Amino acid sequence: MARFRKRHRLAMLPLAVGALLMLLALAAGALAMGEDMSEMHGMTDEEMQGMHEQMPDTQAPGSAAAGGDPGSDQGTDGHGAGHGVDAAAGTHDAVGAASAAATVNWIVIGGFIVLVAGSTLAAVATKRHLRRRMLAGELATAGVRDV
Amino acid sequence: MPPSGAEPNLLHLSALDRMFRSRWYPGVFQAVGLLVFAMVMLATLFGPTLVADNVGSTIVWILWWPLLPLSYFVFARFWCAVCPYPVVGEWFQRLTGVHLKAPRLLKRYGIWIIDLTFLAITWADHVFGIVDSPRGTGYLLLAILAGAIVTSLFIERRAFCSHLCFLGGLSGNYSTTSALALRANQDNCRKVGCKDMWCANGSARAAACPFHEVPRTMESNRDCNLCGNCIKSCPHGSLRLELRKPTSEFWRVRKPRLDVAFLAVVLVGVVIVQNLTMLGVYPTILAHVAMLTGTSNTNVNFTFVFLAAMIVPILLLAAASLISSRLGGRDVLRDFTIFGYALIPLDLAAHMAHNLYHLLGEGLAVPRSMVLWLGGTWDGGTAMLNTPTIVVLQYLVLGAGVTATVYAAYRIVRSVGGVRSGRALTPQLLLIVLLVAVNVYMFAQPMAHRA
Repeated sequence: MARFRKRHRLAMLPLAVGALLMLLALAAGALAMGEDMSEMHGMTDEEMQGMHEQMPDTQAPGSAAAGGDPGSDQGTDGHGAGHGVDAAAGTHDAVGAASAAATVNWIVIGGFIVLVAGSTLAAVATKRHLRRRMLAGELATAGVRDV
Repeated sequence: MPPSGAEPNLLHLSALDRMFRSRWYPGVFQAVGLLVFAMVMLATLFGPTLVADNVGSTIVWILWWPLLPLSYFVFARFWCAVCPYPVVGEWFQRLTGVHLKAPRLLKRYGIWIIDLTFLAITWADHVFGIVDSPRGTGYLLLAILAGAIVTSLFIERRAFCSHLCFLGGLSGNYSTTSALALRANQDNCRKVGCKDMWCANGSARAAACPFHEVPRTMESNRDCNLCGNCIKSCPHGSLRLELRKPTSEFWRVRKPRLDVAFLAVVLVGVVIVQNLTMLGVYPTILAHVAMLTGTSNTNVNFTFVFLAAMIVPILLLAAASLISSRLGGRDVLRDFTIFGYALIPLDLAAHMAHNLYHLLGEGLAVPRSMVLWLGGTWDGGTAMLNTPTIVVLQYLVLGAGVTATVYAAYRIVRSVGGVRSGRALTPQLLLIVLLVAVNVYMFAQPMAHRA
């Protein structure tokens, strides 16, 4: 019974894995975004103030916000402000950032696959172990009839 | 056997009854969800890195996320029945699940874990920019999928949805406001002398309740995703799909839970933060915080704003409950809990009003990103309605939420009873007025777009 309870603690595994996973996902997300968004998210309050000052005036005449043409408030390509790419920015940096982001992407996806495969194998092993113990009658006192 | 019980029971509509009893329900809806979210995950993980161009990001943040609170109000927790993530988890569970019982820690403190996870994700979204990045969105969805699979592999039924999914907490809270509720006709259960409880334990016709609920004694929508298993399993036709007065659950619930009330209060802060960071006044607030903290790091200063937005509503409700309890001659914690429930309609309304801006103000970003994805061009804008119209709609939704919250608080006070109970309502009403004023002010300000 006590040993069975010990096995039950295995159920805590998903909780630990979940927490770890969330942390890893957030960290990976931060890494991936750090390449192309570090300038935005790491900016000082003064820079932030400047950015908000440049925010499109949604009440401007002719904008969708003011009841005008819904298509005319977000730039020529329909994007909001802040999505534009500075043509003068170095192509070299952009390529490097894209490559780093792709690496992080594959690390995260690879990690996901490894995690799911590892958990599946662990579940198979646990199930086999519990079934063996059940057949040996060791779990009868715990009221386990099937695994 | 036809459904039993008095009207209004929607299962008396033969089409609905047939749908719930069909072996294709909810599989058909799940298949659609799986297809859409498979595409969303592929797009967010491998598609364009600009939110506005990425069909996955636009579907998630401009269509699905804004519609989610509305779906909880209209269809209760139905989304959780068709959510593709636990469906994948169930495949793994059927393949090689260990089916362990959920640990006591999860059962007892699950919703606190959900509360903390929800706060962590909201904080991380602002610090790391999850919504601003398709990859970040993809990783978040991947984390949810992994959590659902790993949990399902070890713990029986839908433990992830019940105890760990941050959306589960949100959906549980919001679905309590719904007019739709699945309940059992207890008189019928007694009359037929049912002892097998197929509705909870499952039968040859359907699996057991994925949330370990016993429909016969169920009094809340929190843990019912309308999967229809109980309807299929019950041979006596005791299940009822009721149409009730929205929010009526709050004054009928016999055992109000502190964790549920806590999440409701925290959600007030979450909506305030979501609105605040999109306003033009936000940098000024950050500048004031910077003077207090002595650092110009945006993330550090945001964390202080975030913590304040979470803690202040909790303190305000605690203060209002302290006064209410003194006036009404009741326990403070009990008042905090029952009046916390009354804030749920306000949460839902503020959340829906906030998301109306994204849905109606940039809803065409979804077809636009699809067109771009298919190689076409999009010359128009992304707004479905102009801002003044959206603001009017926001106020209407907020007004409905406030009415529901005030009415719920009034009914709660009435249900609690006592000679002095009426006076206990005053501090709660003042708190509601304050929260509404904050929301009205924020919705009156111009906001930034997501895409």
